[in-house]
Formats: sequence, structure tokens, C-alpha cells
Amino acid sequence: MKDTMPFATDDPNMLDDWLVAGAATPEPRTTRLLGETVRLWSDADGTPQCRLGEQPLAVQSRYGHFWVCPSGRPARPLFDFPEYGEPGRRAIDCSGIGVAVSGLRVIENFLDMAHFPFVHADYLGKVPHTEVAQYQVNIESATGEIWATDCRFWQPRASAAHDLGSEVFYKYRVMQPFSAMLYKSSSRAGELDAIGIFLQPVDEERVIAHTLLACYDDVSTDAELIAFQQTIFGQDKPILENHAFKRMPLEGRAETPTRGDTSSVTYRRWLRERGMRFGTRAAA
Amino acid sequence: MNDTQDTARWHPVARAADLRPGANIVAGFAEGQELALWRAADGTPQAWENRCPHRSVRFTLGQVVGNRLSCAYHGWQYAAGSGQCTSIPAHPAMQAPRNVCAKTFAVAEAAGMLWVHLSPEAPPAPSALADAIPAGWHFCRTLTARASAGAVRAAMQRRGLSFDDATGAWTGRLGGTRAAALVLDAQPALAFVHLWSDAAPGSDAMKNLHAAARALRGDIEALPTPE
Repeated sequence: MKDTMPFATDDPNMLDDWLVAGAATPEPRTTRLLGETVRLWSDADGTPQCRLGEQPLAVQSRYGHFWVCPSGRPARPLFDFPEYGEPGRRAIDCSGIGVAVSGLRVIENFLDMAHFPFVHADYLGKVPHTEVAQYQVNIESATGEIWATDCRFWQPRASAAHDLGSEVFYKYRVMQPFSAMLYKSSSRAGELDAIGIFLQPVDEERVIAHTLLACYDDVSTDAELIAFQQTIFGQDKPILENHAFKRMPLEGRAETPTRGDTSSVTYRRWLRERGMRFGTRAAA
Repeated sequence: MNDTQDTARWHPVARAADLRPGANIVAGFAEGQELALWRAADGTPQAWENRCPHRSVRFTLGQVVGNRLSCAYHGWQYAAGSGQCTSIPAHPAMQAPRNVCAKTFAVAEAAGMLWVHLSPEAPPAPSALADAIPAGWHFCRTLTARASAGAVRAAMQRRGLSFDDATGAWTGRLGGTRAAALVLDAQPALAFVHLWSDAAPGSDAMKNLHAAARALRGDIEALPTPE
């Protein structure tokens, strides 16, 4: 099966993993995955189905989304997202937004706090509160996931109840090259809201970014929470689509990190170590 | 076209008046190189590779802050002239490392235009550039053509315009109006033509030149692309 696969890449990091393909809905629809058009639907008993032409592809339905393994030989199970469906949390699908850039750039942006005061001014940050304090980045041995912890950043509106700015605490997690989560201070004391970003690889320079919330909020409507996420993403999109190279360089001196880019540096090294080629730029 | 190397390699990238001191950033092109064109608050013109060294986001999304350019993504600032990074806001107490530097190109201002040389060892701009457009002439427009600069030059020749070796300008009549044209090799299949004229702005002669320019582009773009 693998030899005859028509997908636009032979990178096992993509072919042998579970790739998100949009919200799990029963009605048949088509979507783009790795340069091909696939059909998706759920049977009457809820069994998800995926076809490439007449060929069935491995598919599962989790976290409200379809996940497809192009080769049918997943190297590992789909990551855990325990906060999804946890009692007291609201799970909100913020829908997918197309971005014309390598998915690796989108994940790196998601992990980055230093851009808050510039790209998300008055939302997630504000000049002159630009400093990124030191934080910890580790690779969890059991799962191979990247975790960035002890992250904190000054935000102008830490919550709806506070007009004054304050420090907000974050944790970040990279589960797959194309999926990540963040956890940040919530409206409920001691609990963290969870936000997942799952990238559907359309091709090497295009993704559909699916955002999912699992949060505590007794005040806002779904529409308000979705609008906020889409506002934030709408601020990132023009930046992301204006990388002079749409693909991410993993080696060489094409791009220069600084001290606070620990997450990004670890992510690039983690991709390099797994031989990532899809969405990367060869060293000049 | 003998002995034109210097002139030919000083690319007329933009009209000088389009860059205001300490204000806007203009996207430019020369031989496929993307440029960020801007003026420091002190008026000196800058032509930089259109890419921040940090994460490769285009400088044209950023802003001019005095004599520095600030990247839109993380607010890193770079000094006019050297391109040296002067500030990394994520680490206010840290001095920006010396190896973080925007790539800069030689730029000259002459005859109402900005000229860029892409070579790191750019020779001084030839004094003849100052004569590319006669003094007192008016800017008509910049025409973009989805064609190679070579195809544009061939079309100029067919229209009977004459090429000036010293300045790189094409002069003659277009639509009956006296005109001078500077051709920019922007990308392999994209050329800009900066058109100037002795006709007064708003005059019938200037309107005729505008109409002739549109017709010229139509002719150039109608030609089959050489494979």
C-alpha cells in the first residue's frame, strides 16, 4: 500500500502519524490532505470513514475531529487530551482557518510569547512590558512531547474581571510536529484553561489551523469565545503569511534566535532529530 | 549597449518622493531580490533585504522609528546605514548581539529616483544617473508589466524610443508626448517602467501618455512568454 501512495510527501513524520482532517461531522464532505482530496463521513453507527478515490484510509474520530493516518501504519497512538470533555470545562470548536505557510511556522508562532506586545497589542501584551523571563523546556521521555513550563508574561487584560494588567502563567506542549496545546491561568482559581491547535497539512506551504478550547468560563457565550480566538489568530495570519521563506529552516544560519527563543530552538532541534522534511527549507 | 555595466546594474527601484523621512516602508524588487525601501528620519535612503534576520518576516510589515526599522513580529530594531540590530525587546537589559544584522544594499538618489546596487562591492554611483531624467520633468506613473525586462526593452525599441547608454533611460515620444522611461528588472517575469515627461500634470499631453502606457503594457503582455 505504501509504495503506491500518491501523497505529496514521503516523509514518515507525516505519513505514519494521525493528521487532523477537520471537525467530525456525519455528512459526507471532501477536504485536502497532503496534496490530495479525501472524502470523509460517519456511518449511521458513528464509525468514521475516509476514502482517497476508492481506497479506504485509516481514520478515527477523537476530540470532535477526524484524524487520518495516510499510510495506515501509525508510529504511535494519537496524543492524550484529557481536558477535552472534562466535567466543568466547556469544549468549544473554534473552527479552521487556512494559513498559507508551512505548519511548522504556525506551531512555532503558537509557542512564542515575545510577539504578544507587537502582534497582539492590547490583547495578549503591551509595550513596554516586552520582557520574556526565563522558562523551562523539557522533552518528556514517556511520550516524546515537548513541554515548556514556568512561562509567564505580563498581559493588559489578564481576565474579564480585571482592568489592570498582571502576570499570566502559561504552559506549552507539542504533541506532534503539527499539533500543540497551551495551558494558561483561567477564571477558576488553581485551574488552567486549555487551548489546542491542530494543523491539517494541505501541502508543504499551506495548512488549515483547527483551534479547540477546553476552558472554564461561566460568563462568555460560545460566540464571544470563538470571536476572541479568531481575533487573535487573525492578527497572527498576516505575519505568518509574510515569512520570506514559507518553509522553516532547521539548520544553518538563515535565522538567528535569541535567549527567549528556547521553545523554538527546542522545537527545531526536536524536528531535526526526527528527520523532519515536510514543510522544511534546505540549508542554503 | 557598450560600457553600460555600472548604469545597468544600478536598478531604478522607486521614485524618490515615494519615501518620506521617518515614515513609510515601500516594497521593492531588483533581479528577483525583494527589498524594503525606507528613509531614516534624517532623510537618508535605505535599501534592505526584505527579511528580518530573526524569523524571516518581511520588513515591509514593520515600521520606521526615527533612524531605525522595527520588525512587526517581535519589535527587533535595526539601525539605518549599518543594518545592525540595536534592540531586542524580549530582553531589554541585554545588548543586541553584533552578529544580528539586516542585509543592506548600496543605494543612490539621483534624477528623482532611488537606485540600488545588489553587489556587496558596489562601485560609486555614476554621475550620469543624475541626467537620467531631464531636470524639471514630471512623474507620470510606474507601469508594471508581467513580462521580462528584456521583453519591455524590445517593445521600447519597436516604438522607436532610443536608449541612452550613459543613463539607462529610454527617450522619445509615446502617444505623441515626450517621455523618458526607466526599466526595472524586478523579477524574471515582472518588469517596472518608471515614466516621466515634460508634459504638465493633468494636461492632455500627460493623459495621452497615460493611455499610451496602458497600450504599451497590453502589447508587451500579449506577447507569448518564451519557455
